[in-house]
Amino acid sequence: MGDVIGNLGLGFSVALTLKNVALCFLGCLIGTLVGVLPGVGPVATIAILLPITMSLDPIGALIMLAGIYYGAQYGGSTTAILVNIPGEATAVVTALDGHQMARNGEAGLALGLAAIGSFIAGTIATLLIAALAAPMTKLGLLFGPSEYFALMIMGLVFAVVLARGSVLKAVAMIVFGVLLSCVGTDLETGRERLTFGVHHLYDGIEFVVIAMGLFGFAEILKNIADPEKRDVVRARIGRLLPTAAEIRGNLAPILRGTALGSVLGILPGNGAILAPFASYAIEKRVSRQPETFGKGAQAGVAGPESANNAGAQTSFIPLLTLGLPPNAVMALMVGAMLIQGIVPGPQVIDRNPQLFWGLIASMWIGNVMLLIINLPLIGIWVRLLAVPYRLLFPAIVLFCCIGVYSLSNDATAVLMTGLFGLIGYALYRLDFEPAPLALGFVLGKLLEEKLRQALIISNGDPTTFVGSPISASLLGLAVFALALSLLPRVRRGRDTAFKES
Amino acid sequence: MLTRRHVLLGGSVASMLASSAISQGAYPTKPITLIVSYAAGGGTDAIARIFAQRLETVLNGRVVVENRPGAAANLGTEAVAAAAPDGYTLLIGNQGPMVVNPHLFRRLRSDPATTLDPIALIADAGLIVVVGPRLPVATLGDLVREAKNRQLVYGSAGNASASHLAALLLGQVAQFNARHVPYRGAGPALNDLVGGHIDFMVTTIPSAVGLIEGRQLTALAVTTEARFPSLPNVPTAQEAGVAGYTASAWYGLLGPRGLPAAIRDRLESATREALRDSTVLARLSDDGAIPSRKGAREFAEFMSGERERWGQIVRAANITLE
Amino acid sequence: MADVSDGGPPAATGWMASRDFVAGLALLLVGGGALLGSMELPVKTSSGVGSGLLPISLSLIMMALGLAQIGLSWRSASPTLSGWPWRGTSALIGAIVVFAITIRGVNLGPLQLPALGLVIAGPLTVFVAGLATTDARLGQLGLLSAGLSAFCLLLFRYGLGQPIPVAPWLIGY
Repeated sequence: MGDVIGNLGLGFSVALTLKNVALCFLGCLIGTLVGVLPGVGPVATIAILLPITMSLDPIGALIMLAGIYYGAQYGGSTTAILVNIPGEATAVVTALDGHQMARNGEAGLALGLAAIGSFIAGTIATLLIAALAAPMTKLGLLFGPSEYFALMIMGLVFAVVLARGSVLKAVAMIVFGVLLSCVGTDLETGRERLTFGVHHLYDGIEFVVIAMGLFGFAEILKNIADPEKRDVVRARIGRLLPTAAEIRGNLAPILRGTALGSVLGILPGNGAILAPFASYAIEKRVSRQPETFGKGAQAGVAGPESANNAGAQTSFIPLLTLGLPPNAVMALMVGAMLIQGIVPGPQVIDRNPQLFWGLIASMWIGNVMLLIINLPLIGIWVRLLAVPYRLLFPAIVLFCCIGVYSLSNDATAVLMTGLFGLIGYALYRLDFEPAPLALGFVLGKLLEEKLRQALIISNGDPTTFVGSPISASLLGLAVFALALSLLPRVRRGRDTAFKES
Repeated sequence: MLTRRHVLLGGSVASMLASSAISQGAYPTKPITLIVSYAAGGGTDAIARIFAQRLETVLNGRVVVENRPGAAANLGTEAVAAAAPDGYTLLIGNQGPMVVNPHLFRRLRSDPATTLDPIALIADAGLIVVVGPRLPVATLGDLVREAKNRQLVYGSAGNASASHLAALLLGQVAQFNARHVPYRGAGPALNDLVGGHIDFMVTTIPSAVGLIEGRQLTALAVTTEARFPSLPNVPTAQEAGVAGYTASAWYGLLGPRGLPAAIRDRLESATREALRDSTVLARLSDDGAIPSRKGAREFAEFMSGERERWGQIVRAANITLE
Repeated sequence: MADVSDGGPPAATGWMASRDFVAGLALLLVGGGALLGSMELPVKTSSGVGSGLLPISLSLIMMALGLAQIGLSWRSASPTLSGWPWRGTSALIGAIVVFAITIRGVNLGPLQLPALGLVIAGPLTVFVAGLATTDARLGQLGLLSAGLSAFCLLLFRYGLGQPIPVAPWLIGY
């Protein structure tokens, strides 16, 4: 423990210089703004800024880039809450209840809970990285393809729990999501699948295209078709910040989310995606009023947001301890380190302790910055919602079009987003929910990839999935959770059907 | 085909205009678009951005990097092939889309060999053979012996990626057969190699060098003809006993077919000058890449040689896409 | 629920127009389409799982779910679907299409359009999208489309360095 304090002391002595604090602030600010814009995202921003950071010293450059990363994570949640556009898979869950809260006139409360939950999660995750980075790395390495496959199966079970209405419809949406993830070339054989000869589908469909269409554009269509409802909602602006009692009431979801996010964040191949989904499923499970979920439950925002931020933070662990980037942003950080002449890998902690601990300390400072930047911004964001909707939505459409276009500088992606907007609205009219579809899409790719990798490694032997204790117990857990959630659900499903008829 | 002729016709007018402009020494007069066939954030993208920054100083004009990912990097090729050959749309082309894809796709919309003009080769990047805890061997010879004994499992950065093809070539040269596990990028594959889930991998040098220094992986050989400066203890494949095994990934600058000679020469010399810059050199050497001196003609010859070589490997392994 | 029929006349009558019947039908169609698109893929390879296994089995599951949904809709009534909001959907999709075809032009055989860049695509998109609501005010919309496009131009092209075309017909990029 003394070691941890000593190391963190070293880190803070590096990160708390005026210049580094300023860079951290700048990074968080740029990140927040970029995150709020639908489509642009941290990857493109960091890639464009990378050559500019060459003029900075290594620690300053990395602190700023890290700031952009978690700033963008938080900014993405803002857009998800305000206008129901999740820029990344992790924000899909935030949009579920966060946007409902905004519709109920509690946008400020939702944003405040997200900010404070993220801060608490970030603080704990920073301490965890400082104290347990090495053992957590080992845990991550235990996850080979078969363990990962089992985890994905568990994730799909969560998706069923996520659903509010009919189980059949939820399962259908998951299946639809996994089917959409199959579009494009098959990773193993290179065969073209479900592209129907369309050239632009060859590399598959971008998540942003699906999310922006199904959530963002569909939401606009919903509001346009139902003008009375939308204006009543927008006339009310609630309190801007949560009270101390509300924060206390959400402390348990925040802490549970933090724990989930911290563990899932260290998995290779972006396991952090699962964290907010898992947190939501658990909060709904343990809640005394599970029926409020999907209608603006506070725990449904606080828990997943904390999980999201904790995962974003601990996903630095594989980068810091092995030099292995778990996602595209981390891959750019590797590039940034290389430009600065630092070879990322296990030796960084011994050779560049100032950089290692300075970066970790800056994570906590970054979380403080996010709070400083975002709490005052909440007032501005909420006032934005007071703009008449007939002027607000054309603006959203333009921002979305430019954002999607800049993903690949290709107008086809914009057309596809429009198509998914129509599909999303049709799904809403038919009482299907888009969230299980989004999860199915994200997990589908990994699911098949890991299944086949595991089978190639085991030379076609399916017992590989029960051979490892980790994958066996994860699969067992999935079966157990499915049974647990299906049994009362069948009964409840019948009740609602009864009510409707 | 009408549209193609249309484009070519438009192109020749544009190139006439451009060559009259360059005779007055006015190139570039507007921003140059440098197309990268991958999403922002990848290795090729990073090289392109640093190269573009340097090119701006040398040419004294704006150079804007534009990412055009999609269709296995073929969309970028198509975008440049369809642009006017006036020197304002250029491509950072690398081995995959330039010489491997023509063997993989039966319906290639634009073949780089006939629709693009090579300007200069930028750099040639070596690869490295690494093993993890699942295969505790110390030399490439040991790996080959093991591989002949039992079927090993190797990971790659993706189907038909440089990492995959180089491992296939190793099997062909050293006469063994191993099972291929494709991953989405080198990162997750290396993770499974370090975790002991797969046996070996042929990967880019920067992706593995930290893990080698941190003793998580053992480097058996580099695939270049000479040893790699930052890993002086790692032998070449030749020295390690597998004669005739070399493989590399490379990047070059290309433009649409029909570039005016004046502009091509200007860009060729600008590239050569940019490659003398210390930041560009440092970044290339981080990538395990050696800056090239090949100009337009040598680059074109190099490309057709590479196309032949990888074609044989692709056919022998029977990889097809579509 | 919002989609319970109120204003417009129902598109069809009775069970065939009920929400859950149409939902089942939609699943059946999507599943069938996916099956058509993946039927030729091999289900098995040497390692076990071929590229067709997942898409084919998922398509079949999807179709089965569709049939089950149709069956359920017979047993428990769901609300009748009301009319489709044509004005909203066509304006919104129209705006997206306008953006897509004007930003860098189209070159599809008979359909040729030069690249107009954000200077034209931006205002057009905002304006067309704005027509989606019945309470649109043309003057306001015109002002908004000009101001917003200028803002986006500064933000994306110059602030974020995105290589988005500005006005290729005027300034060459």
